[in-house]
Amino acid sequence: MNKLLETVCGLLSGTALFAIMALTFFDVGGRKLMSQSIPGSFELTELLMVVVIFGAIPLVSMRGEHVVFDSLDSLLPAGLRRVQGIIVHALIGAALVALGYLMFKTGQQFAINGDNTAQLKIDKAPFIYGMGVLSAVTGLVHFALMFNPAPELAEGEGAAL
Amino acid sequence: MIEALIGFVAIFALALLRMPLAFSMGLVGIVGIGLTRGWDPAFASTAQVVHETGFAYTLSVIPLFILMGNFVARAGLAHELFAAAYAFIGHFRGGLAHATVAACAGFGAICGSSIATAATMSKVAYPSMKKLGYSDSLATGVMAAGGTLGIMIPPSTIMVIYGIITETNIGKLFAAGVIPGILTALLMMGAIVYMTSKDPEHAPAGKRSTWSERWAALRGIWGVVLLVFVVLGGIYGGLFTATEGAGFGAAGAFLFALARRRLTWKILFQVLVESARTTAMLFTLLIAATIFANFVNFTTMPNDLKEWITHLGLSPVLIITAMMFIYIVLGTVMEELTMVLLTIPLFFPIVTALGFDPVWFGVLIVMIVQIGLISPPVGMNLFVINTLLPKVGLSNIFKGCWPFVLVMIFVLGLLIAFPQLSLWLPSLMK
Repeated sequence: MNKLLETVCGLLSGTALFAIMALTFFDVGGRKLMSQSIPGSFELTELLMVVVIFGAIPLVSMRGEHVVFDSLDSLLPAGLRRVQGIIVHALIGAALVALGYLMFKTGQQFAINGDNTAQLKIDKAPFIYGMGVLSAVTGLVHFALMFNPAPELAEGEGAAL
Repeated sequence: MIEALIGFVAIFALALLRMPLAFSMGLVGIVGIGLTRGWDPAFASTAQVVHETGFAYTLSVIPLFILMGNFVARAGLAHELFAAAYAFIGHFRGGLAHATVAACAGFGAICGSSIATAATMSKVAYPSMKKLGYSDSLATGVMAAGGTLGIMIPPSTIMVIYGIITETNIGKLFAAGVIPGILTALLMMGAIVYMTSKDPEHAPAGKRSTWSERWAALRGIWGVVLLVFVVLGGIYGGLFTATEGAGFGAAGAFLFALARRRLTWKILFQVLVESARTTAMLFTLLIAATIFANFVNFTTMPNDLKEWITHLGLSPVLIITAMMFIYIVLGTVMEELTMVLLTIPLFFPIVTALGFDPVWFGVLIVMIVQIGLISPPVGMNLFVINTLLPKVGLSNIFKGCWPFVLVMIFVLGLLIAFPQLSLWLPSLMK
């Protein structure tokens, strides 16, 4: 299950990120050097950003890479930390499933209004549904983490600074 | 005012209970808006923040700079940078330590991460220093401190984040970091001169390179120079926006890694997914911070704080100095990204109300993060080096980093006293 999620989400977000890079490179290069840009590159980047971010969130949760204040960890007994983990992940899981529902509702609203991008007329609703589904999937990941916590990260792994 | 204060306390309480910061801020923000404004507006504004932050062209600058840094780290350019720096300054006493600082500064110009810079350099510089008999504390202290140059010398992840949450021009922030970054590097070298004069046998000079060796070493870094020139030169010269520069830089770094045969399909996939994960982690934080900031802005807190500060009648510089003092203390125990995201909604309105330049304050914040990253007991750079070089031991690393913490606090003082150090370069931009 973990492997499947890693492959699917990795492919989704990784490919989208590579596409943003290539798109920006050719768009800017074309615009500056040959005064020719790629039509709709802005909005394509926006849609791809959604895929990068929401495609990778389940992976961040699965690997426990969210920023956590862990300075108290050494002070707490292991049993208490386990209980703490169960409560925290249950809360986050519920919040994310609720967020998934909220985004799904928002997506329905977009579908009814027929919202699409300005230039290429791509429907936005499927992307918002995607946000909803992937938020809910991340919520499920947290439910799974309640009893199988993520392995300890190496220092600096996944850090952004 | 009271509602917002309760909000801050609730975030701290949840964070202490090990709730990831993003979820603490997001939940408190939603509940806060729900209780003060009603639940329908709370859910509607949450959905809006989530989808607007997702669909934002300008924010693609974040993954692109992260990707550029990750490609550069894989391309193996650090070896050449170190060799070039060593060819020029290796013959001084403590030459390898000087070369490490210089190479970190150079690497910082293509990578926006302090941790990546320190980690990359420790693989390149430590073996050479060990071979020449450098003490472990000096070697690791230099690498940890030099690594932090990665976030002051542009590009810089933390500057991008600061720019986004405070709506400050990222190109100007980048320009503002150049002189403070170089100044910090030079003063670190000064500290190395002082330390090695007391303990010369632990930091012997290397042999002097001939000019032909130096030119050969310089030829090895043309790729880095070209990338810096195109990306940062393009942003400063007004040819690119920061986002466009980041896209160009990431593609350039990708082509370098490809040309140097450092990329297999597997490594490419790893680099892409790793960058996407860091992006997702940051965006979760950004979304949550925006939801929370929306809540705080609904309350009277920002105005109350401004009034309170003006009523105090203290000199503005004194207030800034007090803020920096709080930051230095917080930075010893807190993770720096958390610290910045939590405090900016409080401090930033005060700073602008006092009439200070947001670009200047951004540079101070970066310096504070640099200090926090290497100040014990909780300093991410120190932990990273400890993981990579487990035999050295944390106490040795702690011992080695103190002189550099003091150097950086001194630079922070200079930056507060002379805002021109940060603001002169951005003032030249179009």
